[in-house]
Amino acid sequence: MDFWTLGVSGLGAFLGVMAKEALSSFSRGSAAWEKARDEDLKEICSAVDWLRANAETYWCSTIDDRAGDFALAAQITAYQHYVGLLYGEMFTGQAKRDCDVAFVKFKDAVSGGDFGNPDRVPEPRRMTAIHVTALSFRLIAKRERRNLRRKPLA
Amino acid sequence: MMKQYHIATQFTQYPGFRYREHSEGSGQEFREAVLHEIMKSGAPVVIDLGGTNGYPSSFLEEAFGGLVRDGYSAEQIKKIIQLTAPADYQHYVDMAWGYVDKAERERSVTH
Repeated sequence: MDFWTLGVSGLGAFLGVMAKEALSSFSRGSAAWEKARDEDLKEICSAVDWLRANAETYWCSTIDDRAGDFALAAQITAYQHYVGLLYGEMFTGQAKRDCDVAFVKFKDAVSGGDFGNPDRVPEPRRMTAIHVTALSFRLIAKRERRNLRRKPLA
Repeated sequence: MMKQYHIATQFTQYPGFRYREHSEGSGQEFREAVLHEIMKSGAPVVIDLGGTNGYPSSFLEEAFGGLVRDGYSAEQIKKIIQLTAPADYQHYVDMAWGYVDKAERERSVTH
């Protein structure tokens, strides 16, 4: 084998390894991106579940249980805002609009009416609305996550 | 150029609940101190909802739905007030207009 043949075959092998490495790195990047989106979706769902549970505590409490009321109301407001930011980063266009519509209904059920009023009364219809709208919003967020275009080689 | 009003810097970064008696920066306070003045002046204003730490629904309902209960029609309100927000606050804009429309529907049912 002469010098040139050796050089060319060495270069070929080197380029082959580099191409494989580049592809593998691209694939790892895409997989990490998709994983981050899945993590965001999980975070959205768990925040919605937190809101469902705590909205129930908030709305069903009796007047005697309302010492920590303002702290819970502040947490609920913050979690709602957080969910809005999370899905706002994840979705755009029609997917975001669909989430907005569902999320507005959920928000209205959780923090509408006499939210923040220490003399509020439990409202059975509001409790139903909180759970129904929460589940609808989760369903839409999951659907839109599935519909997001996947990164190649993820 | 249309006048601008930025809630986070000109009213509060922490919007409260529905009524003044229950929190600072309430929807009632915003409506009475800010929105009424805007509506009285009659000059269109762009209100930016961005930059706050979120809005309880009760704040938005009392502020914007309350304007209808105070006697303004949805049409008058939309002529004078424009709402704007960055993309991740857009749902608050939808909520505010939703409450205006809902209050208008409720008013037309009771009258």
